[in-house]
Parts: sequence; structure tokens; C-alpha cells
Amino acid sequence: MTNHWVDIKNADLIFVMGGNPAEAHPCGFKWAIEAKKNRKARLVVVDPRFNRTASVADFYAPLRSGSDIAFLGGVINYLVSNEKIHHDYVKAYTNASFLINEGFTFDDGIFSGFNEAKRSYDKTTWSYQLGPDGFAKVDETWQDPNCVWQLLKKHYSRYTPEMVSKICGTPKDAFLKICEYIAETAAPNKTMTNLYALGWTEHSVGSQNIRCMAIIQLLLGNMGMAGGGINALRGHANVQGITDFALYAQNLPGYLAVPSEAEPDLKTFLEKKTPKLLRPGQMNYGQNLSKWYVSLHKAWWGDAANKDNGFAYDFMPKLAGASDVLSIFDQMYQGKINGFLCQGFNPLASVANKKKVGDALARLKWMVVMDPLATDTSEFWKPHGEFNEVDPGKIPTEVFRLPTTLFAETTGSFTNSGRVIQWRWKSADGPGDAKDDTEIMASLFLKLKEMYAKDGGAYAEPIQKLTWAYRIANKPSPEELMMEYNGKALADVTDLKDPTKVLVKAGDQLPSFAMLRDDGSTTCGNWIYCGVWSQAGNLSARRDNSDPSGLGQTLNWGFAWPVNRRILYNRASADVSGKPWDPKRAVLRWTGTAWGGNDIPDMRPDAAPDQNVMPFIMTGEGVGRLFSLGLMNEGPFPEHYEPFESPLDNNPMHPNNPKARSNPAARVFKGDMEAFGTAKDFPYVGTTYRLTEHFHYWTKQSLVNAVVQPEQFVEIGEELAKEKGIRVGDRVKVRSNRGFIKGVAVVTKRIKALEVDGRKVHTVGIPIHYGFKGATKPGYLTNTLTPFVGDANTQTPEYKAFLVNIEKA
Amino acid sequence: MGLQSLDIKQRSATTTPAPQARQTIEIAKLIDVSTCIGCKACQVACMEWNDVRDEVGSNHGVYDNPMHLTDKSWTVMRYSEVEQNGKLEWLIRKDGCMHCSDPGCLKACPAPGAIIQYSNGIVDFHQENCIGCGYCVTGCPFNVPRISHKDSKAYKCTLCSDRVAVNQAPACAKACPTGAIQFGSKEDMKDYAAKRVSDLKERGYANAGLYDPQGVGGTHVMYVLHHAD
Repeated sequence: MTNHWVDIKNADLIFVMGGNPAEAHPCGFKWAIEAKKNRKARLVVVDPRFNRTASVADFYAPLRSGSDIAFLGGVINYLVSNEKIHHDYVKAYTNASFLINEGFTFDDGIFSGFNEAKRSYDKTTWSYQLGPDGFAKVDETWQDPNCVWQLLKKHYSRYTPEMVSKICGTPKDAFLKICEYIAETAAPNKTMTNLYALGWTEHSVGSQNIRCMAIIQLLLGNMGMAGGGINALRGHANVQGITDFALYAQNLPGYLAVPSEAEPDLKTFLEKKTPKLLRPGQMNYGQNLSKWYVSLHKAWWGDAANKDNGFAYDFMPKLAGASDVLSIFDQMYQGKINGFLCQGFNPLASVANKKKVGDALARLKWMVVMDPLATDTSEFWKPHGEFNEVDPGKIPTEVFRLPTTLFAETTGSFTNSGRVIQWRWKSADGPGDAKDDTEIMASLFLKLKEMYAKDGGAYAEPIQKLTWAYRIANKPSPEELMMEYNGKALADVTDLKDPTKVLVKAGDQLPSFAMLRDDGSTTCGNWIYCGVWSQAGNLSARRDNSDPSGLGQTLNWGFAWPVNRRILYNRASADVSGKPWDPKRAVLRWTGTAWGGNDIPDMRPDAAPDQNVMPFIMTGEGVGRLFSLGLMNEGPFPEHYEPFESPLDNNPMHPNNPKARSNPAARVFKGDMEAFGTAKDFPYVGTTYRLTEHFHYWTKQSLVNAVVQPEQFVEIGEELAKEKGIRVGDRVKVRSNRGFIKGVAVVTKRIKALEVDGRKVHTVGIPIHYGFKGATKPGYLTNTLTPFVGDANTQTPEYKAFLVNIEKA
Repeated sequence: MGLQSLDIKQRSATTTPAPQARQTIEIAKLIDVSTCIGCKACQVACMEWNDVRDEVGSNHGVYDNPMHLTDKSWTVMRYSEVEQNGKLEWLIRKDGCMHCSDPGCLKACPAPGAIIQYSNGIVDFHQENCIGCGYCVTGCPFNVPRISHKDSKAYKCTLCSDRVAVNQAPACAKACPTGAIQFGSKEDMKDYAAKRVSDLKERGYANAGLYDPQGVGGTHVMYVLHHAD
């Protein structure tokens, strides 16, 4: 979230698309209800199903799963062509006026630089025109045909209401009604919040779905505002935390890039990864990368990381190729991986194409499962009737189960969707021999270190020299770990402008990442967490909910990264002169000498408005990007592409270009393209989702959850049910090209057949949650059905849109 | 069963007068269906506070589960899809004892002290006095009490009389994530309902209203409804 949970109560319009918060985030959804009750806010829902959120919405419209970019592109077109934008904001705080490289083109669905064989782009032309001073050129009149505004206008002019309706199946009048709701928030004192979750991410164009909303919120001037922003609702209570600590193999803690083999030394790495200043006087905060990166190495390798060895740059493993979850399981499937340490993860249930994942696990020599529950994955080798038909005699994999404690049985912290880190205290001992994950991992590390010492081995140094200063070596405490993430001064840290002034004494915990240095005098395990445990103690344990702002900012409750800031880009909540756009919801204002207000300024505190330091401090140009340069893999503007399994023969935007049917830059592994089904055999759009009664594949093991939602079901509309002779409560079989599942039919008015590109498209809704282990009735793992392809940037699998057929079982 | 005998207003099959020494305020639970998302946290809280667990049933082609009130499910959510004038609504209602001011169950009950009405409005079953005749089931206009097949006693929502006796809200109200279940004095609940009704009217629900049926003298579980007509 750029904003935070409580801030939803400040919105005038709550726009829910790509999520179903009433269902999946019922506790956080209370803030949407608060906004409705206390601000007369309107709630608008766009979803393939009339879901639990829609049941309390003011307006609902359906769309075909996988057509979100067409819908949102239509919204952009509506806002731009009707001049329903926050003009002053767009002019000052976005790159609308920036000139783009003249070589940049977009031709029938393909951007310039496409390499079809590699399914990737050379992004050279997706760049600014630079002047002789090295800065990006701008045209303040927005007239230059190569300025971002003109390119944006041209790109989205194709997304007419008729085209939206044709691709999405959304009735045109419903689409236009929603455009009107959204356009109202272009007023400086009106805001829209956007709530989304996996309904946007789990597509082969997932990241671009979100990019569309970033463009819309910039056009409306809703970024940085209370009650605005782009708000990803995270699933597990600590999934934000795990993401912050390197969930993806290409990231180090704090979203630092992992060095690759193309960067042989620290200097090259930093030169390549440090963003360039693109406009004069901007903060370009990413220029501090060297301080964050060197401090990370100092946290990990202490004295062994020094100036002479590039701060042990060689100790950091270099990324050799794709290491995302689909890639790992593909490598396992090809027999390239022998062992698998599966920690808090149930991939047989949660990774696409259960058959492929099961076959991959069967090619391992060993698997260690660390989990509080006996997961489906830990019994992938065991026959469970029709739900898991396997022959253990043919599976050589040796499986070890190490029971771990559950979150309530450990002390530690959760980081919620709003980036608020909250300490929590252990409430019970774990059962039996369950151990904390940290104890298991630490014991494993100590054993490896001992084995390297005794037996030697290739490149033992990074292991031998890893910092391990915990009081009890095999039980690092949560307090010690949090202090290590925060970081400390190894020598006195002095003011960069005045070296005689000591800011932090040697040995002290650091108060902020502004104190990090790249000379080896500071440590920091995760730069964005710096400040959470300063000399003032554990700030994540604070529980003071006093709120002088009245906006729910509660700056003394827990600690939000970065630097306890609650609303990102909050400088943009004030106009160029520093006056809040909406005085009733003032987040920040220029006091005459400094930035002050109800949040930690996302701005250099003494940057007077006349210095023109712009609010988006992490970009080299200081403004929000309507045109995203080379950061996205499939293009600087989102374009609609069909899901890899689509009921349509072609992309209605580009009917004559098969290359632009599905995301041209999405990776497809050998053999997986063949496993895609076609509409001839599988005419219906399948989509998977969650139910409020359950949490992923955990709570099927809990009796109370099993009582309230006991058995696998499948939702279909009345029209499809009639066609297929399926009645309420019948048992049905749902097939995709990869397998089948069975469930009870829920026949509903809440899923309608949609008119898409001249034909009728039906949706089959498939809740996840069921499996062969647990207290619920045994069921099939729904990822038996889903395709093994992911988003071109994150590789998040396309669980939300694929093709199925359905029949009475 | 947690309230003291001083607070008894009526007792089934009993002619001795009720104590008069002190007065308690009338309480009510207000269920605002317009902010209810049907998450069933109330069902789970009811199971957990009262420490009863129903069977793991089957899916019958609907979201409702358990399908009906039972001796172990004292509250269940009911979902209905209504389409009128091209507008679809998914109406979700929490079902359970209404705690009537004039309780039919109590009047019908022949077992002395098996059903108690407290001066705060709660109607409670005392299973140790229940003879399992089922008259309460017949006497209830809302089809709420259920007889256990195991011990032949009648069971239903207690409005968490044990919690209310010590100034705690019922477990379902405590667990409700959106504040759709409110609890307080009946007067306060009516005031709160009036605000919600006016909000709903402003959003186009012309017939929104409070459900507090006078046929049973009013109830201590009331609803804010989109369509009170």
C-alpha cells in the first residue's frame, strides 16, 4: 500500500477491482464501511462475480476475467479525452511534459525493440530525449507529438467505451457510469482509493494491471493524498514482511537488486544499478544505493567485508538465471535439482499445474518440509484416493517433516499491507517437538559451518565468515534479529556537511537510513527497516493509538517503513507552493522553514517549494511516471493482451497480429505452450479465488473453519447451468487441458454470461482451499487446472484466467 | 445463565412473582444487514465462546453452512439472491433467537424454570430444567429452538447472557469485523438504526427501515433492513 488500512476511511470513492476485500480482508474492510458510514463515501466494485464486496457496494459492474487493462485503458481514455484530470497536479508532478525518444514506436500491439525469438524487448527507445546537459527534455505546452501526454492520449484513444464493452463484456452504460464516479475525484479535494489484490496480480499481465491504476491515480492527483493511493491488500498477515526480506530471488532485503554475473565487481554493480539524475535539483534518492548495499554486506560479513575486498562483494551469490517459483519447479521437473528445503510453503497446492509440480517433486532425492501442519506437499507421494492418485513405489524422494511453531507460538513481528511493522508476543508454547523456524535454520547453518571446517569444500569463506553474534548460537532471538536488520554504527557517524559533528556514536543503533555510510562504518540488514529499533528501543512494539491528525495516522503505533512514514509520496498532497490540496485532510504543508504536518515528510525537510524538488523522490526526475521508461518488461504503457488461455481467437485490439494475442514478453517454458488448452475443447473462462471462511490451504485443517465451509464447490451462472443440465447441489467435474477436479455446483445469479466480441462467454468460479489433508471433506487441489505461465515481470502465475469445460460428474 | 436471580423478569410455568428490588436497562443487539458481508465470523465466535462444535457437513449448492440452526449452531447466516428491476442484490441475514419481549417459547413451556426472561430482555434456556417436550419449538414464531438428539434438551442463542451479565458484548458482536452487529441499550440501538436508515435512504433504498416486530412486543435482536417493507 502507498497508504495504509486506516486511511481507507478518508476516501470519497472506494474503487475495488482485482480484489474482494470483504471476502479476503474482512477486518481491513471495516475501514471501507467506516468511509461509507461517516463520509458518505461510495463503494464501486468491478469483478467477474457479484461477490461479497459487491453485496455492500453502491455500484457493481461485471467484466470478463483477464480483460482489466481494456477496462482501465478505457478509463484513462475517458479521463484524458474529457479533460477530467487534476491538471495542476499532472503538470507539476508527472512526466506528462517529458519528451520521449523519437525511435519509440507502437505498431499493432508491439512496442519498438521486440525480439520475437527471445520473447523480450530491447528497451533502448523507451527513454527520454536528453539535452546536452544530460537532463530529460520537456515541453511545458504538451504539444510536442513525442511528449508523454500526446503519446498517452494517442495510445489510449483506441480504448473507446465500445471497445471496452467488446473486450470486457461490461455493459457500456455501466462502464460510463463508473468513469463518472472515478472522474469526480479529479477535483483537488476529492480522493479515490483503490483496493486490489491477487485479482490483478495473478495474470500474465498482472503488473500492467496495476500500472494502469498508477496512471489513473496520477491523472486524478490522488497519489500522496489521504484517502488516495494504490493499495495492494496483502494476504497473510506478514506477507508484506517476507516481501520486504527478499521473497524474490532477484531481490535482496529492502528490494536491492541481487548482483548478476554481468557485474563482476562492486564498482560495476553500483555504476549499473544507481539511478541517474534526470532533472536538475531532484533528490534522486536512489543515488544512495552504495550506502544501503555496503551496510548490508557489513551486517552479513562484519570485519570480513572491507574496502580492500570490495566489502566482500564476491561473497554474495550472483544471479545466474531465473530463480522464481515457476522456474525453480521447471528446473526440478527437468531433474536439475536434487534437494528441496520447503519452508512454510505448500507448493503442491499453491503452484500452478499440480501434475507438473508433483512430477517435479518425484524427481528429487530428498525434500525437507518445515511447517506447523502436515501439508499436502509433505504427502505428495502418498495415495489419497481420487484426490491424489500416485504410486509411492515409483517415487524415490525421501521426505523429512520438521514440525515448526505457528506464528502465535513465537515472538516476532508482522508487517501489514500498510507497511506498519508491529511487534507481537508469543501466546503459547508449540506442541510436541515443534521448534521455531529460526532454531531449525540456525542449527542447520551451524552444522554446515562445522562440516566445511572439518571436511573443507568449494568456496567455504562466505559461510565461515558470516556474522553470527547471537547469544545462543542455535537460537537467534527475534530481538537480536530485529536489531540486526535495523543496523548500528561501527564507528562514529558524522554529518556529511560538517565532519566535526557526530550524529551517531560508535556502537549505537541507527535512527534512520539517512545515517548509513558506504565506507564500512555502518551495518544494516534491511535499509528500509532502519529506525525500527533505534537507541529509543523497539519502536514496532509501540501501542499508542492517539491520533491528533484525525486521519488515523497514529504515528506512535508500531513503526511504518520507511522512517515511520504512513503515506508515501505525501509531498504530493500539497500544491507546488506547499499548501494542502485539501485543507480538511492535510497530510503535509510547508511551514515557511520546513515541511511539517501529520506525517513524516516524503521530501528533504528543508526543501523550500521554490527549489522545485518534486515529490517522487525515488525517480531520477522527481515526478510520477505516466510513461514508465524501461522498468516494465512488456512496455512503457500497459496494453491489453489476452490471457494465454482465452476464449477469443485473437486479441480484439490487434485481430490481425497473432504476436500480440497474449503478452509478447511473458516467458513460456518448453512443453508448457503445448499444455495450453483452446476454446474448442474448453469454452469457459475458469477463475480461482478465496473464501472468507478459509485461509489458503491452512484452515481446512481447522475444525471451526471446516464447519462453516465444509466442502469444495464450483460456481456457475444460471444460464450455463441450464445449458449443461446442472442443478444446485449436483456434483460436477471441471476439466482443463491439465487435469480435472470435482466439486458441488453452486448455481448463482451472481455470475452472468457476458457478451464478448460477438459471442457469449461463461465464467466458472473455482474457490481454492480444499485438498486431501485436513478437517474439511477431502477435495481436489484446484491448481490441477491452472496453467504454468506467469506475469512477465514477477512470474506470478495466471490463476485468474484460463480455460475449462464443465459437466455433471 | 450468568445473570442473577434478582434480574429475573419471568420464569416458565411459575406463578410466584418476580423480584422487583432493582431495575436493569433493556439491551438489544442490532444487526445492520447493509454493512454485513456474510463472513460468518459470528458463527465461529458463537461456537468458540459457547464451546460447541457442529458437525462438518456438506455443501448443498449454496454458501449457507451449516444449513440450519441446530442444537450446536445457535446462529447461521442466510444468503438470498434477489433480482428486481435489473438490479441484483445478495441479501445476507444472520438468523438466530430474536429475544422477544413477549416470548412465545416461554409461554408455551410447561417445565418450571426451563425458560427465563431477564429484566434486560434476554430470553434464556436453562437446560437442567428442560424436559425436552418441544413446546418451545411450537411456541416460537421464528422457528428458532432446536432439540438435541443426544440429550433431548432445547438449545438456542443465549445472547451471551453470561457475557452481558459482566458488561461484555455478545461474542458475535465482538467478532464482527465491519461493525454490522452492534450491541447496547435498546434506546441507543434505535438511535443508531435511525442514522443507518437515513444513510440507506440517501443511497436510494426508499423503504429501508428498522425491524423490531411489535407482534411479539418488540425484540431484543433487531435488524436494519434495505427493504423493511
